[in-house]
Amino acid sequence: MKYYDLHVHTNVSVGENSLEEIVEQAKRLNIDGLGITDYFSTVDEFMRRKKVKRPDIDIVFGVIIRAETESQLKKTVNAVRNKAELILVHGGNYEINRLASEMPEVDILAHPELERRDSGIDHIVARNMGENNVALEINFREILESFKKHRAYVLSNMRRNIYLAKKYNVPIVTTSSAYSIWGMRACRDLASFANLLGLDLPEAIATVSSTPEQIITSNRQKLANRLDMRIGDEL
Amino acid sequence: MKSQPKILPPSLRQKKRYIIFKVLSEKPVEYMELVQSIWRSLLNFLGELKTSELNIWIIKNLFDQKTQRGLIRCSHKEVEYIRSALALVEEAGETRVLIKVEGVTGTIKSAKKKYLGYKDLTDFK
Repeated sequence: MKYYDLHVHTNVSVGENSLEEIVEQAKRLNIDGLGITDYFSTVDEFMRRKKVKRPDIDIVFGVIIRAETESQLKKTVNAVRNKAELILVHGGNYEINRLASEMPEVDILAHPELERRDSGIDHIVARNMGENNVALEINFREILESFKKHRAYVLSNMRRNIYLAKKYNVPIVTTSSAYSIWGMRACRDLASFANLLGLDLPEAIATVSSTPEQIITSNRQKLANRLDMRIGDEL
Repeated sequence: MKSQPKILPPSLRQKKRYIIFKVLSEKPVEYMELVQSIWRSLLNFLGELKTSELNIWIIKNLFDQKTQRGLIRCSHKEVEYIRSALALVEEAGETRVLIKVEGVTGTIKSAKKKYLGYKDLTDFK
C-alpha cells in the first residue's frame, strides 16, 4: 500500500524547510507520495519553481489557492489547471467553500472550518463536492496547533464535515499541512485521527492511501491528454 | 449568497438534549465564571476528544442570575458524560459551588415550561 501526504509547504512560500529536507523527512516517515503545495502570486512563479524527480518517492507539484473573491478564485483555477498536478483551495470563507465545491477543476477543499465557529459546510456544499469530486481535507495542523476548548471545537467541526461527506459520498483526504519537517507525521498515524472522527478504520486508511492516489493518477492522465492535444495542434 | 452555511434539513441535523441545572453556592455566581469552570471540568475530566463529541453549548441568555438556573445544549447520546462532569465542578470564581441537574428535555420550550417557570411562552425565541 502506498501512503500519500498531499499538503506540505516548503520555504518557497510559508514553510520553514527546503524541498530536500522535506523529502528526507518523508523518507524517514515512510511516505511514498508527497504533495508539495505552496502559495504563489503568479502562474509564472509556479512554473519557475524548482522541480525534482526521485525514483524512491513520488513528488507531486501542486498549488494551494488563497482567493479573496469569487472571480479571483475562478480566474486562478483556470490559469493553473493545465499546469499543476494538484489544486487545493484555501477554505474558511463560506462563499469560497461553496464556489470551490462547484468547480470540478478543484481537487481538494482544504480546511473549510478554518477560523470559523461553524463547520463551514452545509448540505448544499457537501452535495456539490460529491457531484464534482472535490475532496474534503482533514487538516492535521489545525488539530496540532489548537488546544483545550478551541481544539474541542475544531474536532467537533471536523466530525460534522466528515458526517456530511459520508452522506454525500465526498472523497476525504487526511493531510499534515506541515509548515516545517516537525509538523509532518507518518500517514498511518494521520489516519488514526480520521478514524477517531467518525470513519471506519479501512475508510480512514483510504484517506491517506487509495483516495489521494486516485486523485493524482486521474490528474496525471488528464494532463497527459492535454499535452498530447497541444503537440497535435502545433503539428 | 449568504456568507453563512444554510441551516441543515431536519434529517441531517444533530439530535439535541437540554440539561437544566441549578447552581448552589455561597455567593451568587456570574455567568462567565460558571462557563469557565464548567469547561475546565469537562476538559480535565473527559479530555479534548470526548468534549468535542458532546457538542456542548451553554446558553447565555437563558442563565438566570437570580434563580441561578441555566441550560446546557448537548448531543442526545452524551447526557450522562455531561452530568458526571458537572458533578465534578467545585468552584466558580472564588466561591465554592455545586451544580445540581434538575432535568433533561428535548426542546427549549418544554425546559422553560417545566423547569424554568416561564408562564408566558409567547416571547419564545
